[in-house]
Amino acid sequence: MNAILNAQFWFFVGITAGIFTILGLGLQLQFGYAGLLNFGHVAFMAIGGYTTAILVVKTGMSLWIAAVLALLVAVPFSLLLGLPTLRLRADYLAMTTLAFAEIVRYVAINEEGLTGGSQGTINLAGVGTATNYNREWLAMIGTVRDWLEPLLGDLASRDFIMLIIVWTVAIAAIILVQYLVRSPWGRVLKSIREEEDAAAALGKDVFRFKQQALAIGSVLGALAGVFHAFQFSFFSPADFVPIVTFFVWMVIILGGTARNWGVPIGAAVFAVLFAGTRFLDVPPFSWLESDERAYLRMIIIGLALILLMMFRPQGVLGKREEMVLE
Amino acid sequence: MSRQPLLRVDALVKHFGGLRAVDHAAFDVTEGTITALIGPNGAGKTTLFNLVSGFLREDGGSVHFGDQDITRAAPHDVAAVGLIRTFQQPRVMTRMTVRENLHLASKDQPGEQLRNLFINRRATRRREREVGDRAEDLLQLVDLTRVADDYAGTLSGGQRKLLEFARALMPEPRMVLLDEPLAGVNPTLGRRLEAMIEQLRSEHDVTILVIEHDLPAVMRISDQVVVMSDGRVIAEGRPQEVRRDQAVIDAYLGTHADIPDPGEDLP
Amino acid sequence: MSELLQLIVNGLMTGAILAIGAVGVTLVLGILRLLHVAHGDTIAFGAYAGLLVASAFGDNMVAGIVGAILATAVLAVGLDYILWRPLRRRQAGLVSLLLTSIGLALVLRHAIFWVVGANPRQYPLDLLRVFELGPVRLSLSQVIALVLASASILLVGWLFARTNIGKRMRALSDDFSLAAVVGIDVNRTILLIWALSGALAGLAGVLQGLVRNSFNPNLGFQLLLPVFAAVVLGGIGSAYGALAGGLILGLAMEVATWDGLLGGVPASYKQVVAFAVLILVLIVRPEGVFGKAELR
Repeated sequence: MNAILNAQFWFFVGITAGIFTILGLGLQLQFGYAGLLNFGHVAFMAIGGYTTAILVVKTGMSLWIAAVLALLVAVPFSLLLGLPTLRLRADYLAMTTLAFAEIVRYVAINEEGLTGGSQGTINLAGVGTATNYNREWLAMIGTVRDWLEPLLGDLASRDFIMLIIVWTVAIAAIILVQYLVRSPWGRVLKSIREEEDAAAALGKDVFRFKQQALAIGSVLGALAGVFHAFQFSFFSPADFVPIVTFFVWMVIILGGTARNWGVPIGAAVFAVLFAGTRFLDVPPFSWLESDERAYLRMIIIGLALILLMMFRPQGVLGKREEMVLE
Repeated sequence: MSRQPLLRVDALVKHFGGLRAVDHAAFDVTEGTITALIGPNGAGKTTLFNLVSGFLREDGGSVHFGDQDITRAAPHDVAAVGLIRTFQQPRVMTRMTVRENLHLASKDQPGEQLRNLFINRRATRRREREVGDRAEDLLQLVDLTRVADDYAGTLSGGQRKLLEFARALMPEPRMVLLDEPLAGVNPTLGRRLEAMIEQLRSEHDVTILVIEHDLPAVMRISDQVVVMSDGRVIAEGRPQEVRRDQAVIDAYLGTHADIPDPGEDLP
Repeated sequence: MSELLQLIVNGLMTGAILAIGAVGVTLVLGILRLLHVAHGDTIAFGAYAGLLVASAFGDNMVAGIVGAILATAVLAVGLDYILWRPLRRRQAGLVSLLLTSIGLALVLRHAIFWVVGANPRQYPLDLLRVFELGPVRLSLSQVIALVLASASILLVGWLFARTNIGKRMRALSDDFSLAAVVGIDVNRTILLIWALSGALAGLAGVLQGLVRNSFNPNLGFQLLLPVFAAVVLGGIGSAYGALAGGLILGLAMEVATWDGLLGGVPASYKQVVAFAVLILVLIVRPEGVFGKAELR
């Protein structure tokens, strides 16, 4: 009952934070640096997860190769999204990216033969045959666990190992994005966010840079989707509803947009808020039924977003001068 | 000194709905000269700049830069052939430092291509150093060295004008289109800018086309003057000739502006 | 053929709801420059307000409809005082407003969930009573919805054609400060815009509840993107455009499933028709059918 002292609970929060960090970095690059109002980010999480699972189940491919392909596949999808939409004004771009993500979700729900339909990946090999795409991952974790158990005892759980792996990748991603953003390439990106026309007048191919930011951000989104697939061994279209994109927006705002090291902190705060309120038995949540808790959680997230916009649009960590939200 | 026209504008046309903003405008800008584009408000001067620099699509006519047809070129392609424009209201990147604004503007940066960030890092770093040196020189030219590492958003209006000007020079352009560089600028700063513009032409052989309303300044520094009114070019020639042209006087009399004698040194 | 007629009637009903919802969105977007993502959940609020008022008055549907319209209008106006006005004072940018609207959407939707629960609900009308007009079958609630929707659309059209309100709103959409100089009370006009937008949202919610046999609090978000598509189709800022766009889109969504059209779109992909329209219009003709081309 007292979940606060339970290490496994915190590992789970940590994993959620790690996955949201990776998602957040992608969106950060697209919005915080390139100024793209992407409201379809969750679509790439879906593309990453589904491509992995589909390739493993339908073609018998190795999970590792499937995961790499899933990341690569995000790029042409981002081109598909970007080509018609990147020239649009900010709020129109928001609408079209949202519509794009919903199309992806509807396809996932309806194309049962491809995706297992609304029931999710359990039906990937056909209704009635429960499939598991995740065998290799679980086997690997099992091996690592056997290796760690004599050293760490009870601590060496699946979630602990997952936590280390996710955060290693997340930190590597932060370093990579930081490197990109500090480079001349990143400088052009920032200039496009600031004064697109002036950047073009100085010789920068604005469309190409935006497309590249969209593509890299999408690959990061797909990477988060792959980890999601690893962690839960099963997912359905309901995991990729628009609210998830809004969660990622919250993460980058909390951390202060245009600050890469703010993203993991925003993700951590969000993960505690989200996973914490699901499992912790603290008032006021302990007074409520489980479905009411879910509603209250959402209400709190919505209120937090509103309050942030009203009183601290630069985020918890951001500086006023660097405020990207005008 | 007889040189070739670097910029050739031929029968350029642009409509906005029923309005003819630019109506078969045609003129040349000789290489290595300062040409002023003047005319009453609404004459179509900035629209012409936008057409030449690729921000607007022509409804007719053509633009040639050297031997290249840049009529349909996008803004970044126009910049790539060496034609750089500034904006009437300075568009500095407020959330980047002054120095970053300058570094950004440089051309031929391998670090702007993603692959060079991973496989050709030495060339990237070398070029960045060269860019840094040039930025330092330009900072000194416009006397912004003191604020080099401040956010451009903290600069005053006059300082932003200077930054916009310096930034346009970073990519070593063959020609610059200056949109009202002296507007809203105090007289001392204005004289400095005039001197810098002349220096550009004389020492660096940069061709300049400048929109200006400060007619005394125009008369002082221009080699050629092109006058526009109602979207058309109504006069083209040396400052003295244009000043005496009846069509020009009529166009300006309509707006109660006096065209000064280039020989006078007005207070 | 009879199937096609039924689809056309369904399409007009869907279209009417989209049209009424779209007018609210287009006004707020065109004049206040706010992409009101919370409009969908405002519509849901209307549907449920109607439900609660109707049962409070002894299952009186008329009371429910009036209650829905009033309650939602009051909500919208109240939110201007609490949220939008302070944000306008702080000169909040496009993105801040958008994110606030998203936060508001989350709060509204889940507050509704909390109060009424997730179980599907329906209005207190006889579901079994069916009218047959030729080959077309309509339930009692659908007939009520059809009549109400037609009347409302005509009323809104008249409102913008004949009265001063439309002119004032149009003046505001061009330039806030200029409108103030000319003597237009900016704050009061903004309140009017919210009141109208809210009232229409409430009406749209009730209509949606009538048209569907049962509904849940997600009905708002489900309508959001189709409403946006209608707004864009009709041209942002144009009330007439929103009406026309809504009707055309509603028809397109339903008729697209007709098997006379090469088998037709599967019914579950109806929403995707709206998404596709949204994306295509923004790419090909962003000013919509009735809008004026925006100079960048």
